[in-house]
Amino acid sequence: MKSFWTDRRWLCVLPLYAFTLVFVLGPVVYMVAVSFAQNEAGTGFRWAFTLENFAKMRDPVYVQCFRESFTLALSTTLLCSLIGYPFGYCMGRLGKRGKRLMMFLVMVPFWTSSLIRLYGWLILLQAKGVFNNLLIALGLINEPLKILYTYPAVLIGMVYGLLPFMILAVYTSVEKMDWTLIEAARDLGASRAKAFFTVTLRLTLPGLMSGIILTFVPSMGLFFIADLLGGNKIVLVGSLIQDQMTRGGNQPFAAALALILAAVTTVMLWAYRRLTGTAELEGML
Amino acid sequence: MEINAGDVMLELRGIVKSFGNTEVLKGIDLTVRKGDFVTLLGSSGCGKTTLLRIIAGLTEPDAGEVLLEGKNICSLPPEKRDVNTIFQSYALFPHMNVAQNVGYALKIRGVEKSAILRRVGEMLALVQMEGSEKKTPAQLSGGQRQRIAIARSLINNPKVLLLDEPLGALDLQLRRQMQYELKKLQKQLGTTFIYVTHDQEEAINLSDKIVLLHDGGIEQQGEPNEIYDHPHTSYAARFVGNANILQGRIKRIDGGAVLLENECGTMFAAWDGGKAVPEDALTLAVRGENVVISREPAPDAALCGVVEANTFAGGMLRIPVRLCNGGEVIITRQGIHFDFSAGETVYLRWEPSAAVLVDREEAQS
Amino acid sequence: MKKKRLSFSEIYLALVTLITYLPIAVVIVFSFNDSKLPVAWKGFTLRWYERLFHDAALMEALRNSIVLGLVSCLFAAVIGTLGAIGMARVHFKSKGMMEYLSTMPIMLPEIILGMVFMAFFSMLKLPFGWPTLIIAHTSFCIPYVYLMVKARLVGIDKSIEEAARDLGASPSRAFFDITLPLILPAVSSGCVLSFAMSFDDVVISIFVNGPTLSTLPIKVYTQMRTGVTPEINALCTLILIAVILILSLSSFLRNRETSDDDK
Repeated sequence: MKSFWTDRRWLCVLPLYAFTLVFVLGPVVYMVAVSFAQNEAGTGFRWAFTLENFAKMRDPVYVQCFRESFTLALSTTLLCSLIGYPFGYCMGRLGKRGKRLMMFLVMVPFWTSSLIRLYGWLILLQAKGVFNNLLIALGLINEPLKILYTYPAVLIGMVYGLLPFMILAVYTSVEKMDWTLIEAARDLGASRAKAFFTVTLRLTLPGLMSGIILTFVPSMGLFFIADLLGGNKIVLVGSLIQDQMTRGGNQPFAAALALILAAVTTVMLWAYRRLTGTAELEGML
Repeated sequence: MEINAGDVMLELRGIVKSFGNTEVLKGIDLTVRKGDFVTLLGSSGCGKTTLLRIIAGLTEPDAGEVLLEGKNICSLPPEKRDVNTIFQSYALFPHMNVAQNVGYALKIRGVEKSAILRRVGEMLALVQMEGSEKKTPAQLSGGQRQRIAIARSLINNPKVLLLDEPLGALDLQLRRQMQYELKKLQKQLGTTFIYVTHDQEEAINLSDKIVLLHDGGIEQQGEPNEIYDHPHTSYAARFVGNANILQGRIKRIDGGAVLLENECGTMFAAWDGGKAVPEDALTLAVRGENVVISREPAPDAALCGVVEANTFAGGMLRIPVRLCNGGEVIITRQGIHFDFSAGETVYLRWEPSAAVLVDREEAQS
Repeated sequence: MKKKRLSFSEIYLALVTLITYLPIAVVIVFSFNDSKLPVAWKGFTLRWYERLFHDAALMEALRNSIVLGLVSCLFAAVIGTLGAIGMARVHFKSKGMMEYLSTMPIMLPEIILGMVFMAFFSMLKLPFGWPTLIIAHTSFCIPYVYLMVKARLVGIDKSIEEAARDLGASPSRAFFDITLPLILPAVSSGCVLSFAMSFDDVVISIFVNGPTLSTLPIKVYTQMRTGVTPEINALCTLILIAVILILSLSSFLRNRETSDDDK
């Protein structure tokens, strides 16, 4: 007699398989199908194959929206890397107690509602807010600066919201690194800088790349940051999708937009897997 | 070496096991006597751990039978076999303290709590770990974990204790001490031990019987000194005795000795009385400590070579001598003084009784 | 006489951390400010906290969020843990694909997940509200539990369970005595993480919550769009305290777990 716990333990995957097939694969396949369906104003859509949802994206309004989203995502990612990489690196070089403290300090905002933190910026950046008052008090400016509801405000919000992902990803990678390799490189005659670029950077690259994915991918879709800090001046693909789904009532177009976004994500994940050989992103958990 | 049926503890018959396309065990037959300390010796990948796992029931053989006291136990799951294992990693349960670890087997059998505690105390005393009941495995050193693993496996009084390279993770000094204690424990309890190791010195020190495994089969089995002094194959000679393997053609058979000849000179070996005709090519094994070295050729037999270097390792001098046919003979000496320097031409010779003919299929049985 | 000087890297860490905490500090400070506008300090008050507890709609949203978090986290714990245990024994060709699919909800941008769920659920004609919210949240909670437990299972020496069998435990006994207690810390940290993610989620919820049901983040979001009130500050402060408590607890549990593994 075969026992469940030795030979049938694999049966445990059934709930996961069932849930994934019905509620992950199902919706995704549905989305792909809908993206090729014909939109009908007012009544929803008709199952007729068409490429017009994709063709529609060539409209300058949407091209502009894609370009803006992409630029924002790219600059967010760049800033996150520039700030987060040194941060994660310095953190990884601390002692055991320092690491534990910094980890706690990084985790608190990370776990705090992103809305709360955004709300703090909202208060700070208002025309009559703390930041402006401070600048006026210091005599640096005479008139309050208009920061809120501008592009820089959105950028600040994005970078701020996504920075912890970058930090954690880089830190995980630095933490795992064998420091004797740096010593070996130095021993073999590499200068400090050379050792950093040839050894440290190479070894922490998976962390950096994982951080790039973890910041780039969500930044394409975080419409509420642009919405709250940018007013409605900046329309991102995320906002567009939400708008088309709710007010616009054009599901096929929203599906087509989402499909493009999903494709970008998939390509990035695929590239990551090819370059690092693992599917799981460093420091994701 | 005849064994009475009543003395047999464990018998393996035609054990075959493959993983994927690689055949790890190619039909192993083995008999283990009650109370013996048997070592399965071999390099990594020879199948010794797989064989141990088959006895424990953790791996299923593709073919063959495992008999414990004459009863086929092949169909029994590991928990039903009167055999316990000490794993290479010790496999102590990290979430249980020492007492819970050691008493686990009794708890499963539903033994009363106070009885478990008493028995755990006895077992800890046996392995000299009294008073460590409340510690967790993380708080113990490697040697201490080893002792707890031993106590845990012996608490059920198994008929056979299987040990999978249990000393592999310990440093040399601790290893030696644990070897001694294991041997003492085994004598004291009279339990049959089957011990897996790749360390021939350990095997020789501990065992009543060594089973040398090579390439999925048994290369040779017997008492340690038997394998050490009379290896049947060049592999056994090299693995167990670190012997030099040399080849030559028969020049003369003279009573108990045979004189072989090759490009570099002549050499003796003990004659095994097997079949042979003059000019037959034979292989001999001679251990480094039995080689006599001199500047002048001996009148009866000598091989010519050049001293390459001399190195000091493990309390011994190792002197490699390069022969003119490219072969190498390694001479070992106790102490640190050696009169010959690198580059010197020397002559090697040994007594006929010091060299054994190996790889002689017809003479083995 | 050598004074300990702060190194450049320490200054950098401190500076960035300070900026990170600035908005949070502002939120907390203004939750005690005796003025409706978060502009200047007008004196200490607790009245926003009092108002908060009397705001029925906000309190209901908070309750909804907690229930939603707990329920999805429970479903995710069961499905994700079983899945990780089973996957370790599966050698189908579909395994890699399934693993990719089941972790996809945390890989894809949230906006896609939300949109896709909305379209799919309306196609299935599911009533929008609790069922849709729970399914959506469970879907992105599962990967956290699954990945945590999987990582833990990989870290457990296989011979530990074999040792239990060897000592006389039946397969089920070995599982419940050995494997389960060893993965439990991973299950709990997966649960904490997924609860936090569920509790924080705006983007996905907004697509599937339906007309009447509101979660806390949705409520906060809509209030923030229409204008800020210090009540929200008070609420944020309370949430922050809860987060710090949960985080301290989980880091305590984690440290206990890792100190067990120390060799």
